[in-house]
Amino acid sequence: MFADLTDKKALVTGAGMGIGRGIAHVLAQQGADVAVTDLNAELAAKVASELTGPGALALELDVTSGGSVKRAFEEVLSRWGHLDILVNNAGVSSAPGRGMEEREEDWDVTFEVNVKGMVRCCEAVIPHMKERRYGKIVNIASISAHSAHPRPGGAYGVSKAGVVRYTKGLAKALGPYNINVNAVSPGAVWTHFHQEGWQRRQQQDPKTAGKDPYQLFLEFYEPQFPLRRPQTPEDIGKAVAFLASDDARNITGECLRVDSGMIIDD
Amino acid sequence: MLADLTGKKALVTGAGMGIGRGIAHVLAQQGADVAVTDLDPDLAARVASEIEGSRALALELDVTSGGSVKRAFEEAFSRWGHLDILVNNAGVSSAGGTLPGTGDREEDWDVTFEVNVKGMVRCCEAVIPHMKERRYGKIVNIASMAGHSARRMGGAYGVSKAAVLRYTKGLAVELGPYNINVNAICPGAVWTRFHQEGWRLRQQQDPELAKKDTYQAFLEHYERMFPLRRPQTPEDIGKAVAFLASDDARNITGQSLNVDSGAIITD
Repeated sequence: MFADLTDKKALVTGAGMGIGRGIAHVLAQQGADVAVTDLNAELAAKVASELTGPGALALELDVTSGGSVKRAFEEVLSRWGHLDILVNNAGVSSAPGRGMEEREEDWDVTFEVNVKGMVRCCEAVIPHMKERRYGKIVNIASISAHSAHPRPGGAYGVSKAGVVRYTKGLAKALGPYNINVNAVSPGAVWTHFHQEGWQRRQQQDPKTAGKDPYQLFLEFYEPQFPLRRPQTPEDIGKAVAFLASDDARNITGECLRVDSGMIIDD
Repeated sequence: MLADLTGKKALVTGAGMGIGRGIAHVLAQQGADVAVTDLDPDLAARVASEIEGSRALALELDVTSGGSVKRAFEEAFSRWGHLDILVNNAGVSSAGGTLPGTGDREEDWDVTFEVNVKGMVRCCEAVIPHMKERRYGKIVNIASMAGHSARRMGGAYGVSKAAVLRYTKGLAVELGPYNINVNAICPGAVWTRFHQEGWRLRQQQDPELAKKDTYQAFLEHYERMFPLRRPQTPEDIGKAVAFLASDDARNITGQSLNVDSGAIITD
């Protein structure tokens, strides 16, 4: 089987909904036992209950807390004895409840989750992976990491550029230990993340008030995608599954864009 | 199954050996019917015979000849009625018998561009109207890590592979609205005849190098360059092709995926 993950042990952060949930589903379909982790323990439990097979584990994990990260990884390692795959998916676009204008607090929260949260989880697993001389790390970045198009962006895009840069450095450092580190950059996936963003925009722009937020999202993005369609959580999950499998054993330090062709640069 | 290609029809150029042969094998393993094409019809026939069942078709295809390209695609269409996947793999590093990367002559530039760039364009043009009409298609172009940055293997080869990447990206924008995905893969170093010939030529010019086993010389040169400390195999490249040619990568286009054990990590 292609991208066969039978018996592999994987941990996905922010897997309680949206893209993270899609990744957890695809990894499980490919045969992996998945630790579904989320800030919200109930969401994690719900997704874990959706996964087929006996291997799913639901864990509370707040990537901004060193103690929470430590507890979650200890729980996984004590349960399974090892971890093969880490997917850093947890992310935010601003401090909770904010409009589109960013204050210093938004920069702090965004970097705390998107960058430092990823670093904390990597550091929790790297010594273990080095010792086993085996590991796959996949970080979820964003097209906003690569370009100021279509929105100039602030903290979010800059934090995601940090994710891509960290991925590349880590790939070089961990290659000699047979650990692959890659990133996937989604374009636009209709999840809670975008739903909230578009609802906020509607509150600020009377012309769009009353319209269906999904239609607004489609009208904005479709012309910018050469393939004329947004992506799904499953699209992202499939790219992650490939990169996390031994079929991609000689791919490392890459950032694979799953964005229907939106950002094509050199 | 991920990267399921059951019933898909694929054509691979330069599939008589090396990376192209590896791609043909993996596509067939994933369920595709494969047109194994090569400049040398005997090599194409041999690879086709290695593929189980009657799912392979061997065809002579010289990418430098418009007539040969036309004949091969017409044959594939008449046999299968359609084509889902085109893999442009045929490539050379210089004119026959020339040392790669050392003072390319005009002839080397001409031959390299004729095969690596214009050969790819010819094959794409042979299939694009058909794919547009069906509003379905997957094109994967084999570039090289040499297409990305100045390295030892400079000259015509690297420049031609940079052109492959640029063409891939433009074509992806152009064909996206027709539901056609166009991507490239950049292998790092795969031990095939391509490298075997190159390293033997280097050994002829360097007495120190000549003392070594050719494969050892290749490994010593590349392993240091690869964070993962190992060269790639034709199967590694084939698997990346199979993923990008599958509907599991339906929203990936215009990308250049390096399968190079981390040699070129750029922004």
